[in-house]
Amino acid sequence: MSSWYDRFVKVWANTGVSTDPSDAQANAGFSFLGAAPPSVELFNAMFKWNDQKDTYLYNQMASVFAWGGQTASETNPNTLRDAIIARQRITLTVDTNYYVDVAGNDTTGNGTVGNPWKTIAWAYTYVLLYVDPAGHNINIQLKSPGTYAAATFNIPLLGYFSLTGDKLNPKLYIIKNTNGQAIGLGQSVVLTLQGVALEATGSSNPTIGDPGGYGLLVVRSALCYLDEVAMGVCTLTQIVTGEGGVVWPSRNGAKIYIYGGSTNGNCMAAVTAGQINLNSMTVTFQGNPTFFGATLAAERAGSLYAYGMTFVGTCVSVKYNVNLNGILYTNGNSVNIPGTTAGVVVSGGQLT
Amino acid sequence: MSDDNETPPFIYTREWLPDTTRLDLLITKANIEMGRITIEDALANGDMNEEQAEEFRQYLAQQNAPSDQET
Repeated sequence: MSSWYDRFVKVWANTGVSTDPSDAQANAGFSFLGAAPPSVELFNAMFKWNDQKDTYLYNQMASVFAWGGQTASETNPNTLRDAIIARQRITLTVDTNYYVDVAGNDTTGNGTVGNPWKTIAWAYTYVLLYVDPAGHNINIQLKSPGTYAAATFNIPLLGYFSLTGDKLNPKLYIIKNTNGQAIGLGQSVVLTLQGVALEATGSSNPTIGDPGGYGLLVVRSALCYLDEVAMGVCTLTQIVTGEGGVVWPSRNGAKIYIYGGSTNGNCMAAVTAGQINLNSMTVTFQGNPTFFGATLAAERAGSLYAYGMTFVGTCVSVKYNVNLNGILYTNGNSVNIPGTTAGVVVSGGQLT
Repeated sequence: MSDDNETPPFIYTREWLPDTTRLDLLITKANIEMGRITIEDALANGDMNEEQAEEFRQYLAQQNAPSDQET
């Protein structure tokens, strides 16, 4: 048995015979018939026209339902409204957390604590597409300990933007990439990163367009504020800035933990006019990690400021590598930089 | 210009850094929502004041209330 609702997108007399009235007949209505009843075929045509118009309108709405992720039902009068709401940009009126969890779902989740997304990348995409921060803070919050997929941020938001695991247990919230950087920032993005661990085992010799195994890659005028961030094993440099990218402490006394080494890179490197500022920070090496390169590297006009800060622990590495007009500023305290081999200053590099 | 031995004055100028007070409060709210701490913990630690705690209690109550559609 069919119902009126089932008859949407179905046409009366679809398999029957119908005879369309002319425009003049349709304009005149049944008056053209005089006293004679209309034919079956004429009735069919009239109902068919109405169904075709309904079908046209219904399909318009159905496309909005689908666009807004809604499923229509006979009893829900709000499907069209909900679909439109689902696609509207939300203008925030308060600072807002969005949640990501190892057990979350990017398709069925909504970013709430009870229904989190799975990936940081989707949370960022969602915010870009559907949220107007209007100057408010947005925090992407990792809900549970575990290993999360890497993310790259390259479109700025109109508000402060942070990614947080647990500042008391950063090594339990691992962001890992096996084919590229764990966290990448570019093109003027500003991100506060805290309470997470980064591991990256991508290519050791990337060329343009290829992913490299950097832990934190901050380039092209991006800015990353750090606190309570742990760096695990990376193929390439663990923290690297370039092309105007900047890494700064997010607060006075911020902390970085180094619990893994780098098979083909440095611990930290500021290159090609990038800057790393460790002022006021404590950098703690755990488990005596080994670096292929230097603990601190500044090259190609990169500047690395390691003054007014504290190193704790040891590592196996060249203490520093300052070359090609790079600047390493320690205010005379380069002796405190951990490492097992004397530092190197060459090709116009400056160490103070 | 600042002396080399001093922190350059621009580094911790509040206007240029993320508002850590707001951010810390946001993280505190996340930690409460996730069940890592309670509102009472946040109050005891000084991470929230009474007004912020009451406001957040109302927010949580609103989040936990059934929606119109569900009723």
